[in-house]
Order: sequence, then C-alpha cells, then structure tokens
Amino acid sequence: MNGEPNMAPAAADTDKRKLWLVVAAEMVALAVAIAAAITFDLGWIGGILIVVMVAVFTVMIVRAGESRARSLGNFSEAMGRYNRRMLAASAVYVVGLFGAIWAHDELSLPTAGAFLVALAPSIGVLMMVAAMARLIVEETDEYLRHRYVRSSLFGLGTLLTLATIWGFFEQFDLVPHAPSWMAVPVFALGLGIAHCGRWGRE
Amino acid sequence: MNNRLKVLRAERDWSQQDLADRLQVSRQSVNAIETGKYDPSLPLAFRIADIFELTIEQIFNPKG
Repeated sequence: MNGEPNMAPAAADTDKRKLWLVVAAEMVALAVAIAAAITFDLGWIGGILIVVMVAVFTVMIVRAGESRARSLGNFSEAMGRYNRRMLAASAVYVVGLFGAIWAHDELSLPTAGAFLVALAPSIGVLMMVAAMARLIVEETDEYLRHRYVRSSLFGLGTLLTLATIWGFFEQFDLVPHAPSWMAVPVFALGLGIAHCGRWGRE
Repeated sequence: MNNRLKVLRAERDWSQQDLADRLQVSRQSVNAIETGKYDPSLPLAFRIADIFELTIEQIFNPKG
C-alpha cells in the first residue's frame, strides 16, 4: 500500500490474530463435533449441537471481524447493522430449515400446507438478500459502498457463469441436477472470493 | 487522477483518520482516494475542497 500505514498497526495485528484464532477454533471444534456425532450416532441432538456451535462461533467471528474492521478504519454503522441482520437471518434460516424438515417427515400435510412448509427455509435466505440490499442503500461511505457493489457484481457474475455452464452440462446429461436454492450460496461464494481478492490486494 | 491530499494533510499535520473524521468517511476511503485507487464523487470532492479551503482543481489533477 502506498498510503499511510494503518492507524493502529498493533491493534490491527492483534485483531487479525484474534480473528484467525476464532476461525481456527471453529474448524477444530466443528471437526470434533462432527466426529463425535457420527461416532456416537447422536442423530438430531448431534445436528442441533453442531448448529448451536456454528451459531456461537459465527457470532464470535462477526465480532472479531468488526473489531478488526474498526482498527483498520473501514467499519461503518451500516456494516454493523448488516452483520446483525445477517445473523438474525441465519437464525431464521436454521429454524425454518429444521422446522420444514421435521414437518415434512412427521406431518401429513395438504398441498397448501406442504407449500408453506417448503417456503419456510426461504424466509431466512430472503432476509439475507434484503440485508444485502439494505447495506447498499444505507451505506453512507461511498468508497465502502463502491467496494461492496463491486464484490456483489463479482458474486453475481460467478452465479451467472456457473449456472449457465452447469445448466448446459445438465441439459446434456453430463452432470447431476443442481437444486436452484444453491443460487444464494453460489452468489455468497463469489462474494467471498471477491472479498478475499481485495484483502490480498490491500 | 492525481491529487495533493497527502501533501495537504502533511501541511496540517493531520493523519488519514483526522481527515476521515472531518469528512465523515472511513479511513480506508481517505487512503483509497489518496493513493489514486478511488476517485471521489463530486459531492465528496467538494467536501474535501471545503475542508482544505481550496478549489477542487487545486487538489485534483485529471491529467495524472
């Protein structure tokens, strides 16, 4: 970087270490929990245990990420609201998904009820899409907004590219069917790649 | 686009964060503008010019 060094390099380094430590701890804890769930055949309890653990670590990662962003001088109130909305949306998604799976397996539903149940996991995902849109609308820092829009366009490009290629592969029976709910995870993957690319450059 | 932001800051002994606080933007924004990675919008360019009590042309050079 040609400009002035970071505002508080020591704090930024400490926050960076903290962030990576939390990510590493989550990976280890997740691996142990999955191994325990499989070994001891914990079933639903194991699944819920893993989800709760992922939720706790996600909150920790978001907080560590915010702390690092503050020390680097690129945190904004809009980003804070976005993070909280995404956490809430993730919680709604998990509840909706597990609820829908349970209702689908355990209840005998009429067609309208089945549609409503199948819609439940989408609510959390739509909340995430709304959170992304609100971030672009609410971000008052034009450079941060510009960065986020560029990353979003990269995510969109990734989605359109992969969906088109996969769609034609599928059409010619070369690959298995990909469910359309994968659109948001693929977009998020592209968004993540764009963020990582920017971190690398900066 | 070239600019004199770094020099103007140095003359006033302001850090990037000081300028960012005055402009009500992130320090990353100031850094990106200063290093030419990002060209500010016209409203932001006017705010920068106001803070340094100069014209936009005295700070930004489009031929850079």
